[in-house]
Amino acid sequence: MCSAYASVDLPAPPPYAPPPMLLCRVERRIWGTRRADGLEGITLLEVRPVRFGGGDGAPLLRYDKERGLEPSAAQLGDAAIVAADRLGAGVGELVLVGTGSRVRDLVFGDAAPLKTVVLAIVDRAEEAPC
Amino acid sequence: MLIGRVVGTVWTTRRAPALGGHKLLVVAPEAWFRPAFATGHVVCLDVADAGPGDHVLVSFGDPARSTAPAGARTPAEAVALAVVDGWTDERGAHGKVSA
Repeated sequence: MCSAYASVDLPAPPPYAPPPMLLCRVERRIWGTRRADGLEGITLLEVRPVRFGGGDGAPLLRYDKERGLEPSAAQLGDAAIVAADRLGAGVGELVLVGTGSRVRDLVFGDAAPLKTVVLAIVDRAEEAPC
Repeated sequence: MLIGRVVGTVWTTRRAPALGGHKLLVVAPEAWFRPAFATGHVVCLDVADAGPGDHVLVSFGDPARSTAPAGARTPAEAVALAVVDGWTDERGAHGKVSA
């Protein structure tokens, strides 16, 4: 039973909605001098979701800080999102991203005008064989 | 809420302090509202002591985070609340227990 979520046909969510917590790879840092109030001290990162379960027979996804993402960056989703970071994640690192105003309140306080937050920097992640 | 299979594990050391020391699970939903992002997974905090291969019940939002030991101050959006033994749907019985 390797295939996930393929069989049930339900309405699609709004196109901007990522899963509430997901693993992403940091693609690049975004900066600008003129920003909204409340963004001081916050780094904005463009991140790309990692795709688990590439299909039957696909090599298992693994990541660690030294070797990076294996088997390749092809395991990344097409869409990118922007997440706020205060932990100091670097380009190429895998991060845990959470979405929602409550998560934002608890990590950055309620003055930060954003909803997508880096919650942790991943040391190691492994897809388990099924 | 959704049912998913634990397909991976995540280790972190640098994390938002309020997240605490909880284990994180990578869960592939068995039936998902068709995701706009082709991630094939959702990450959730583990309060049910699940492991790879287990099926878990994942809940989202405020009710979910209030089940974590640190309660409403836990910055998690998804929590694995229970290890599922089995379930039935239109395709029949699934999991360890057949109905």
